[in-house]
Amino acid sequence: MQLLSSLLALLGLADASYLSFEHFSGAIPPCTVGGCETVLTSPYATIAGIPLALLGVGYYLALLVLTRLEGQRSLIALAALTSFGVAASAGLVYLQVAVIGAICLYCLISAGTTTLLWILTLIRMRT
Amino acid sequence: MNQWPWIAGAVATIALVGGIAWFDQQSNKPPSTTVPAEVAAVRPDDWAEGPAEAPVTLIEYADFQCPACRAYAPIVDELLKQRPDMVRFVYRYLPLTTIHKNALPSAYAAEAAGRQGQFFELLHALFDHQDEWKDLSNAKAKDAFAGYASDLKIDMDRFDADRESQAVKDRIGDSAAESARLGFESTPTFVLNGEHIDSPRSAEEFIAVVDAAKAKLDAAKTSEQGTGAPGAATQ
Repeated sequence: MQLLSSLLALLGLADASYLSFEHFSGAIPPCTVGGCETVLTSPYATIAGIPLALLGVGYYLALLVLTRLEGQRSLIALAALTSFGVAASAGLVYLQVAVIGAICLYCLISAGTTTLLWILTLIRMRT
Repeated sequence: MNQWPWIAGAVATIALVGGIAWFDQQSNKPPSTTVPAEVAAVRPDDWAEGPAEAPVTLIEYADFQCPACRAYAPIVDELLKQRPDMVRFVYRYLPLTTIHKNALPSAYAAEAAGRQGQFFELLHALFDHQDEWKDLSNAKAKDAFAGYASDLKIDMDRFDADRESQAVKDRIGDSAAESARLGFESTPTFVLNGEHIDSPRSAEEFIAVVDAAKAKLDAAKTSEQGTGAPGAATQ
């Protein structure tokens, strides 16, 4: 279970790294019908100039470290962080569907990864 | 428990994903593909800047509501300023109507202004004020466009009649249909001397790309002259 959590965190890390890479690679992202460009070039893709994907890299790095630590405390930290992550993901998915009107697969992967991690953490806390 | 394998794994994952992403980008880039001759040629009803006899023709398929197109406007301007005799610049419509609600009204306004010789003047006004009109309703946006047009030397009655006319709407529709046929799905899309190119990232890069295209033409010309030279010498 712990190993699975770590692997999920790795997956999220890979996903967020890819999106961060995309953000910093192209100087001027073109406008494209639908898809990730629409989402990633929307005003919601950055907070105070920092791309959400980069925050995601930090988030998943922290999760990865936490999933490798033993003890109740790290588990509580993991639960707190993933709870926050699930809430943020829900908000971001809502933004994509209702406000931006386009879906980015990589953002959905992140939302799914975080939700799974959250559920796994809750199960680990019970056992 | 030893954490190092996991840290190494994380770094390796980032590196791997970075590599895949880079490769993905490289392979996703359209290899500079040649467009049909009738697309590459400047047409009588095209909106064009620069000398008609310029050796390099740059065609941009763009959308007035696209932020990237706005970002490219000063880049193209800089290119035309730096290479005034080298480039003929043509603007064609690729309105992304599914993501930009004012893509069509803005294109209609530009075409109507063009019919009074003010296409590029209104183009610049549209891009300069993009943030102000992009989120407006169609009706409010049209009012805004009329405001920009009234700052130019434009007969407003004719402007209003033109932008509502079927001829103008057909013109934009035809351009959009052509873009779709060519497989152009993002804006801006640039065609340089008949080749669909990756969008250069800055004015400097653009100038370099145009210079290279010109050099290629010159080289082709020189080799032509080279083969013809003996004949010319005997005359």
